Amino acid sequence: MSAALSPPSIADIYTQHNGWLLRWLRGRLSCADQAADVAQETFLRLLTAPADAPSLREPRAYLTTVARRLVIDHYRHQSLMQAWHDTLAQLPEPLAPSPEDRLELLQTLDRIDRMLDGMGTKVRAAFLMAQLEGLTYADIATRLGTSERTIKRYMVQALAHCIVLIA
Amino acid sequence: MTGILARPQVDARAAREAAQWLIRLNGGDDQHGQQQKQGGQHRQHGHEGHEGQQAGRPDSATLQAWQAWRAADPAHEAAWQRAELVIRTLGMVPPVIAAPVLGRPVAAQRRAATRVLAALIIAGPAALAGYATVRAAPWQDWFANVRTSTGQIRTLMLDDGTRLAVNTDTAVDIAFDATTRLLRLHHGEIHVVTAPDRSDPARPLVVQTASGCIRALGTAFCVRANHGVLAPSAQVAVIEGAVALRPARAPQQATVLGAGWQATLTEHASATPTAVRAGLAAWVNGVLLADDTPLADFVAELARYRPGVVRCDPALARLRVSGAFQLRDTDNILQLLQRSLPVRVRQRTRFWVSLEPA
Repeated sequence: MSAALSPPSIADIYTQHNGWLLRWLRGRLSCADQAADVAQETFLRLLTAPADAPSLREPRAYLTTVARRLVIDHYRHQSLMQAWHDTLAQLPEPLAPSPEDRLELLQTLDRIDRMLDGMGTKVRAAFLMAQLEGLTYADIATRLGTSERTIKRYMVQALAHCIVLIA
Repeated sequence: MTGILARPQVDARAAREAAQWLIRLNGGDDQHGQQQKQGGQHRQHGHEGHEGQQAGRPDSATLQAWQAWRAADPAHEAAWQRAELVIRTLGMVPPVIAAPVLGRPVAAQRRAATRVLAALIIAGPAALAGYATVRAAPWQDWFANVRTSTGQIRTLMLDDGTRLAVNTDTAVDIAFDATTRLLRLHHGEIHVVTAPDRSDPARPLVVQTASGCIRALGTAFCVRANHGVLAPSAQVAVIEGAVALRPARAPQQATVLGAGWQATLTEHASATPTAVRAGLAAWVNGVLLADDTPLADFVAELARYRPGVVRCDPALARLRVSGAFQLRDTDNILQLLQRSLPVRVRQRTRFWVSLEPA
């Protein structure tokens, strides 16, 4: 009876769930290697979860949640990489970062991108205009066709979002 | 992929208050964040920035109140530290790169992720065994009409992973069905980066214009449709891979255009290809590239992105322009021309601009 109540071991969970998870991920990601990586990462999260976490009693729900987030993050990262390559390709020579700086810059961009994730489209646009382009609220308001008051509200919203999410 | 599950250690209310303080301390009613931008050699040289910086200096009462808020609760101080980290981190990236990368359209990317995930959420884990049948019909028919106004540039991620950039003043219909991925270009310009189709059999991607069809052969290319005085034509430039050109009234005369070449497609034939002009697709990133371009050509190009009329005095036509210009601010481009060339920008109205000898 006590065996029935104790959470299953990680090995049990892996054996039982790896198959469907991998199949599901393969349908969502374009290549099998990526699916395997994400599955691996998903189980890794399970290992680092607290031993008494409800996750171990409801592994399917937990794995699904984790895998979903990882897939979303994968797409986010992919679109970031695409934009990164496109931007570098279009950048006039003197403005291009040196090969040594690139990796670090890309990592910082990825960190910021993750921090911005989930922010509303307009809020994000307004925030980037202010922070990166140094535009005034009045300019941003004109561009987004809204009031300065709204832009100020967007700024508070965006900063609060970043403060919570920055890693 | 580390960290995306990490639970925030910050109180939401403290975060909001920290955000409000940060904005207030930077004179946030009319100006924002200028002081923090030490790393800003690439930033815009807006005149208004300097005034704002002065105006934004907080008084001592405000500073005291801010200190009191920080001291009142360790959660406040923790949130404040993170606020500073946010600003420092944003200051670490050059805007000329960060703006297009971070400012890319993210809605499309989210939609792509959500769509593939939706099936699971609706069906639930029990349906996972049926995954193979879902896979057999992965993409449903998809239709959308995309219109851009003058000066507007949009980038879309289509269902199949194809990236479609839509330039200023353009009308394009997206019509994907079981057999074809069709883009109907009514007027304007598009830039297409195709993705391999995942349905079986793979559907060709075809751009249809009044003058004929352009079929992608695994590729990145630009199509610009011109109405022309007598007959429609389309300029096709191939950046990667190749495309097949098929004139509307002479479909048997299909020709293949390879990477690095551009050609004009008319209803009856496609003209002899020439080398692709450098920077032709820079608009995808909101940039107008000029390399020793005659001013008359440059102005004609610029005028596409600006409502109203931009005229260039014939006496100036042969002046040369070089540089990378941000299309989102055409007023600024005109100012730059005035500063770097012997020209004077005369604005009769916002919509009637002429370049005259200085």
